[in-house]
Amino acid sequence: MKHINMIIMFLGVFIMTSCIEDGDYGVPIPNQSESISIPANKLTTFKALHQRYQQAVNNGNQIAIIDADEDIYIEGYVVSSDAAGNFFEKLVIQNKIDDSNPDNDPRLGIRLDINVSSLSDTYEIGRKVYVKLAGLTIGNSNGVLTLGKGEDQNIEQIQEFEYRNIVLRTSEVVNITPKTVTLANLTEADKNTLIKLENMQLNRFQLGNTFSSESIDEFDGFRLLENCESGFSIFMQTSTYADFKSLIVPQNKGNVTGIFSRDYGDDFDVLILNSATNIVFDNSQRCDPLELNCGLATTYGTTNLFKDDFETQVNNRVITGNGWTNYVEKGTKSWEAYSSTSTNASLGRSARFQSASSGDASNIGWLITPAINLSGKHGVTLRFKTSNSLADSSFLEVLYSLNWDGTVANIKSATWGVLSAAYVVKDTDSFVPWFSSGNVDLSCATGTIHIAFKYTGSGQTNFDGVYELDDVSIDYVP
Amino acid sequence: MEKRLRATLIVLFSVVSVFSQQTIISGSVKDGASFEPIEGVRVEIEAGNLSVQTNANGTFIFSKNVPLGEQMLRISKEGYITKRYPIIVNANETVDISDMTLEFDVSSTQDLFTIALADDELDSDASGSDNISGLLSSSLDVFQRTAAFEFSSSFFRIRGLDSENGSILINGIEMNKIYNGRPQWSNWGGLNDVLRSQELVSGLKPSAYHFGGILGTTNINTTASEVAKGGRVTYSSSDRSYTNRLMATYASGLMKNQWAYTISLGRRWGNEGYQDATLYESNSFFVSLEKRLNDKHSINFTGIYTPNRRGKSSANTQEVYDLKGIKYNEYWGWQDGKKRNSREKEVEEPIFILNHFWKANSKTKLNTNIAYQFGALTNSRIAFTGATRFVTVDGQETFEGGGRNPSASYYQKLPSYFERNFPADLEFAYGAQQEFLNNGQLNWQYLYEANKINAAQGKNATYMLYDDVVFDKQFTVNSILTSEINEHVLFNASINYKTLLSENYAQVKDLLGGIGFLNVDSFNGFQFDLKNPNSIAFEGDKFSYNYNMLANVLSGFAQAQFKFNRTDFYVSTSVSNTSHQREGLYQNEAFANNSFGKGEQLSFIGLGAKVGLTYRFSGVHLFDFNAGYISKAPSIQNSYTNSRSNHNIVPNITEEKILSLDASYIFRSSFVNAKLTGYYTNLRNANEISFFFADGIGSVIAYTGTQQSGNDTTEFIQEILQGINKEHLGLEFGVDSQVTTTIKLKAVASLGQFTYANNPDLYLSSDRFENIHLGTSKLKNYKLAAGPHEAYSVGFEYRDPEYWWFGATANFFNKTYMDISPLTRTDNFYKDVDGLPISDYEESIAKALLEQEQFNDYMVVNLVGGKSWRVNSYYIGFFASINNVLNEVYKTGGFEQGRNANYRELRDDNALSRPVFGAKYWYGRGATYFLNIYLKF
Repeated sequence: MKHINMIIMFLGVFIMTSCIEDGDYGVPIPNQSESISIPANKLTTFKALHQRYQQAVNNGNQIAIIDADEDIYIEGYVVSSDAAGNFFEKLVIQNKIDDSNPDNDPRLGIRLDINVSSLSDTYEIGRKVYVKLAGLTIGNSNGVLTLGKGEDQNIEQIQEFEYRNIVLRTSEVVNITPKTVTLANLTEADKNTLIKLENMQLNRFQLGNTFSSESIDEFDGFRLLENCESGFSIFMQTSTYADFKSLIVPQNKGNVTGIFSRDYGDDFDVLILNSATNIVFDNSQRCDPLELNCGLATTYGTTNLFKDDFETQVNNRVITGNGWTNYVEKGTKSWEAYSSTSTNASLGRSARFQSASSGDASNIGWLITPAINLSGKHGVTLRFKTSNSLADSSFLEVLYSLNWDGTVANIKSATWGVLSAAYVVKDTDSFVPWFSSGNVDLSCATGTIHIAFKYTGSGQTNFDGVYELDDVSIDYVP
Repeated sequence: MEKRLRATLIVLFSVVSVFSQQTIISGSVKDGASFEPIEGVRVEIEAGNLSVQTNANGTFIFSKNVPLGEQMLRISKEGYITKRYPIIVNANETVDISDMTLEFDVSSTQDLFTIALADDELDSDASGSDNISGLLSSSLDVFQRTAAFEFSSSFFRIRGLDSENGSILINGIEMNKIYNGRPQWSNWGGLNDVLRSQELVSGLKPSAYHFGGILGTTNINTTASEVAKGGRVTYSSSDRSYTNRLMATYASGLMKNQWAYTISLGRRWGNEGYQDATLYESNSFFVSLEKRLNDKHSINFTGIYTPNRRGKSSANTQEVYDLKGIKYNEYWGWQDGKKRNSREKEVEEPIFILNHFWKANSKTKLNTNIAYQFGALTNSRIAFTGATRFVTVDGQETFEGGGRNPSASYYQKLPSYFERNFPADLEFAYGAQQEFLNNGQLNWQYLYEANKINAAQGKNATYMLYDDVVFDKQFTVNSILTSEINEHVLFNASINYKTLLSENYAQVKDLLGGIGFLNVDSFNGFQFDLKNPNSIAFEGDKFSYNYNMLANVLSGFAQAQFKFNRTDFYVSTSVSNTSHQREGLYQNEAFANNSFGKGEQLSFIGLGAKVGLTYRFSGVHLFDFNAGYISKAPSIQNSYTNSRSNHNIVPNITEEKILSLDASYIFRSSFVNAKLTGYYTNLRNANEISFFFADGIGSVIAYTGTQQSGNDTTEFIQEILQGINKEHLGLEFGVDSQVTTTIKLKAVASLGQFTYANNPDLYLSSDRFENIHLGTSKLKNYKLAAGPHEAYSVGFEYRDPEYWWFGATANFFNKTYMDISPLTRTDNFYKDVDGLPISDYEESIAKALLEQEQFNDYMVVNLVGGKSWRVNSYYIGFFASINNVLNEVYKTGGFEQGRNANYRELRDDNALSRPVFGAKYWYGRGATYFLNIYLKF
């Protein structure tokens, strides 16, 4: 009897089955709100936003505020990703999924500043989104058009508690085809959009670098991507928080896809990658120039072979005489003389090349010394000074040739190499001072040499920089 | 009524003194209701420290060393109300006290009270401090009982000491874990009925089983034949940790065939305890089987299996409590219409014990025990660092991914963060506040969606739920000898051997809709398992870390206890040899040469010695003194600085050393029992390892040359505090008084001062640097976060002869202190990145910033009452308690967050009305109830 009691008792304990939350949770189904659709009459274009901002600027404001009761949206596609850590608290969207560019709604992009990390958890590349514009602010942040919050003439971030109600996801995820473009053809309209550059390589002096793990890299690392055809270049910007910051930059050449943007300080153009895999440099045939590099000499000789301080030239006239060959390869501009006493002063009278307002699609100009016979001379050195103003993506090269015959017709067919030991002013240098080239040693060259100062730029805003040249001197030890 | 009670006292027993050649005390004990003789009643002459047990006829006899004069006889048995009888003993006379009665204790069930502890906070590692009350629940001392039952929910600790200083044994086998020295209470939770036979010796007093720690030793005896025949079914309901409890027990008693068995089953469950989403699920199985082979030998097998799963709750900043209340728990979120807790703790470690009892002769017993325990302790949490491996066109690999901290109370989501960073845009703080108020819980949906987006792109999961698993296999064997050398000397000795294989690894539990999880550290791209790189872990797979910890402990002790007329004393010594060794199963790329295979074997020698003396001025006044010195091996936890990643050990590691002294005055009369104790304990050479993100350690990072940018001041670090000395001193006082036969008054006071006694060395380690010595941490004279240093209780019990009773206590707590951050007390506090003092450092402000927070004092009132009935041979009873009737809101503890590691960070944060990295606190529970109904037969 007792035992029966006992059994009943024990059974009783376990008949009471529990109602504890166990591990079998249903997997959540996607939110219904994802299939949101905004009526066409509430949609506005990217172009309208750009214009709205421009209007505000014209009225002396730095931002344009959209009223909280203005029930309008834009429709766009996510093209940036913070998955690799190269974007942080930013979401870039563009209105086209490829390079189409209709007049009524031209291809444009805009950046959203959101105080949330891991945005790609929710907004992956290709996700179609609506941005609810009511109460947002349009402005220029780091040189690109940006949507955010804020009233006091600057853009502040959209905050975590609100972003899901502002950036509305649709269930549509598309493949974004980047716009294939050359550097020279890039325009303002390409900012904040996904572009593809072909036939590119890393500058040969940065091949030993990582993307962004060098001691000089603060916040971002900048590496020069150059185009093999035009010679134009653009900085690749990589965050020091990017997952791929410690990889060595690719050694070969090929194509690269990224967001066209401006650096943090709005000083120059940059290309920002979503992932290290956006670089497809699969061609090992780099396009590096021939180089002459005998290094720098500690001193220069007392006997002069060639010298010009341009004092005998006439302002705003092309440089002539003294053996110079002033050759315009492309465009309508050439090396000219000028003088200035502003903060961007000349050295008395100096030479300069400026392509601004040339209206030319391309400007290439050469200033070539007369032939210098190196035979039997010891310790030959070249000295010169350079300065710039707003160089942007235009650039100045110092070249040499040992086989040019001195005729203009044969300039292009001669072999020109780079005098890589010479310091030439860089875009990142201040425009105020003049930079000395150093005593560029020519002693490892033999025969007859010509030195050329070659400018490359265009009439476009980002390529119309000014380069200035003075105090060219070639000497030897008698 | 008064008359009837007095009649009871007079009629039910009689004292007869008869002249004889010896001084003898004899008598018998019966059940107060059935008048059946009771076997196994402990009869004790209080002053003489003599005790005997009644035999099957309920009789007992003292014939040796009987003290003369006024004496107090105490009769007690588990399940009955203890009684005390004053007697007068004259030389060469026999005192015969027949037919004393014991009443079945309707409230006996101490476990009724113990819901507050053994089941409950005891194992809650979320509470930050461990609880010693499980050690004390069997005590009869008013101080200890009050500490166990009234003070435990305030995390009061006797003498400010951790539970590692107390030893818990089951049938002579030590249950304290080698890993941290603490008992894992869940290993036998829910088996209250069958674990009731407990022998506690407190403090340094000698235990027959074990040398013990300085807090005391409890041996739980599960021998089947010692449990009275009968059964019991209990149902309980509560709103503290579990909602329901059902327990059933049956004991056979010793049957004619010389077999005896005890079986117990229990289940405790609930979807939510006091804190939000703290689910509870526990089943308990127990069997004990004994065979008496003959008069000398018996063998007992005990099996205990108590799988236990519970949802943990978080410590929170004051900001969070102010917004969400004291029940708030950041670990859960809604999923599928249910509350899902991301941090669950599961304990599943069955114990098997085989005991052999050998009575060699009437004086000598040898008890040999073998135990095997195995199983897993798992703690779940969310990983948010999942990455995907990519290979660039030129063959370089890169790991892209990593998510964000999903906690809704992560500092970057709280209003304080916006107040600090956007003081001009308070609408941000307001928006964050509304969001936190309205949602403020884990968003499981977000995690699933992120993983699904990844999956659609062929990427691995960013988020997942995983378990930190400790799978232990421990084998213990020991032999315990007890021998009565002569009537004055009792000798105990034992030899023990334990060996532990502890497997430690992380294991994927739920991929939350993701494909798999890459076994690579996405912060730095290092392989967790270099010998098997870039593996993808799926549900059930190990990842992140995987190592074994091997430990062996060989120990022995010997002691002699001497009993004389007025004086008792003892001498006890112990010796132990402990070894720890780590064996890495993963080669961690960050520590490629220092993580795989077996590491250095650490070896420690422990020595212990203790002596004590009890002197009786008379039966009423006693003096007691104990002193002990123990050196012991540091636990595994305090030996390795970062055992998940590498073999590194704490620098200069040696044995911990403990000196402990106490002296008591004891007053015992028929009316009042009182005890006053003073104590002093000095712990030396302890280590503590903690892990956290520190902001403001730029000078350390710069010093190590591992700076990754000019602004590199944050790192996930291991903080190693080495060579800590602590001092615990104080007074304990307890008094109870049986004012009338029905009313008992009691009062308890504990006044302690627990402090750091030196400035220990502080080292920092991380994945980037190892054991960087930051000098000393200026901790001396800071208070220890050891619960309230002062606690007081007054209360009464009313016990009606009609089998109902109630009681109430008021408990006051004072001087509870914040657990301070040692890192901010080092020189790093004032150092800038260049190692020079921070330019705007002001000592007076620094002093104010580093002042230790003392929590408000508070009072908790507890009520308890019950009634029982006897129906034929059944007892039916109920019991109810209400804790914190007045719903007092109080902090039980807290700790400073290590993030504000330097002056500037701390100053700027504290300047805010709501600091971003303010201290985290635990709050006590508001009013809660516990109800218990049982049937006993």
